Amino acid sequence: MGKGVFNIHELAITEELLKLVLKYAEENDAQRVISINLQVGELRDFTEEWMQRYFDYLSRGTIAEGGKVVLKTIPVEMECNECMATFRADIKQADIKCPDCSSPSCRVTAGNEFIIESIGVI
Amino acid sequence: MDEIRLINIRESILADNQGLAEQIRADLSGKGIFMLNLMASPGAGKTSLIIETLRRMKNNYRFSVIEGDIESQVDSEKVAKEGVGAVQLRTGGACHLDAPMVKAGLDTVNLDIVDAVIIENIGNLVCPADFDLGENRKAMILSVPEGDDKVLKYPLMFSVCDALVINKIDYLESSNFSLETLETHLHRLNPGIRVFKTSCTTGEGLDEWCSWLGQEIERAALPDEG
Repeated sequence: MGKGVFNIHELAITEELLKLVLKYAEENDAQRVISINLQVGELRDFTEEWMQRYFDYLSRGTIAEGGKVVLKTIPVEMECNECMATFRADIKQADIKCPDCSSPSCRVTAGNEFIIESIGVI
Repeated sequence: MDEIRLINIRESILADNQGLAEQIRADLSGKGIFMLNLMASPGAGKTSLIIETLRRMKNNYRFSVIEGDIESQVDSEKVAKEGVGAVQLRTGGACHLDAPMVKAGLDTVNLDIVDAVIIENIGNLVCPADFDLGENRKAMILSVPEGDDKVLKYPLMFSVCDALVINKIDYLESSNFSLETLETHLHRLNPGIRVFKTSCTTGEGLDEWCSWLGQEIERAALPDEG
């Protein structure tokens, strides 16, 4: 942190991301980082546009400058506690029911991910 | 042109923070100290809950409070009035605490005379959910005036906590807040979460909350538990 007005959530996260990217790039003798591939669960509420903007800002002067942040959103998946059916759901919706047995008793099984999957380097 | 190589990583984006958080947890566990990460919106009653908790429990356990509130000494002064040590973190306007900040705070505390640390996180229902601080338990407060729809708006926060304190429960009758709606949405995201209904004004529910916290402190004091 310590970047004045840029003290926003995505910035702190992007700083952590850049550290990891540079670590792996250097360990693999990369000259440049071309792409950064992330898997981010829908519950995290992150947008590619903001991450890219902060990444561009923070990576200036490093071998990751110009790298493209590619964000794969992992949708929220739920499991029914009654019939064990799994289904995708919009968690912001108030009324979620199992599509198979109509039970309202369901729990989230995916959508929390926050992973750097890979980087593309030359 | 050089060929692009793909390097597989499959690591958490917050691996660095996570690593330090694990280290903090191990250090505290070695000393039998319990740490609570308390999160909420501004105005939900974090400081009030901490003060009421200290009043009820400070004769049984030795507490230390880490205050993360933005650039203010007000909260730590309130805690100090209760005769409990408080560390005010300088967060430089950040929207959440992270493990390095908590480590810096803990380094100023004499941990040999502490049973439990309470961290008052920065008032925010978004960012603090992402950052492990090395705590044993995460708790959050939702106050009745904030509304029963917050689970839908901040799902990550509600999904990572071990306990939810529904505070300002004395406002329930005069509001359209539905406990049933809240709990239906809540248990979908987090079936195991403990729910406490409190009022720091009337004292309702505080004994149940303190009883849970006491059990957690006792558990952390046992060897090889956390």
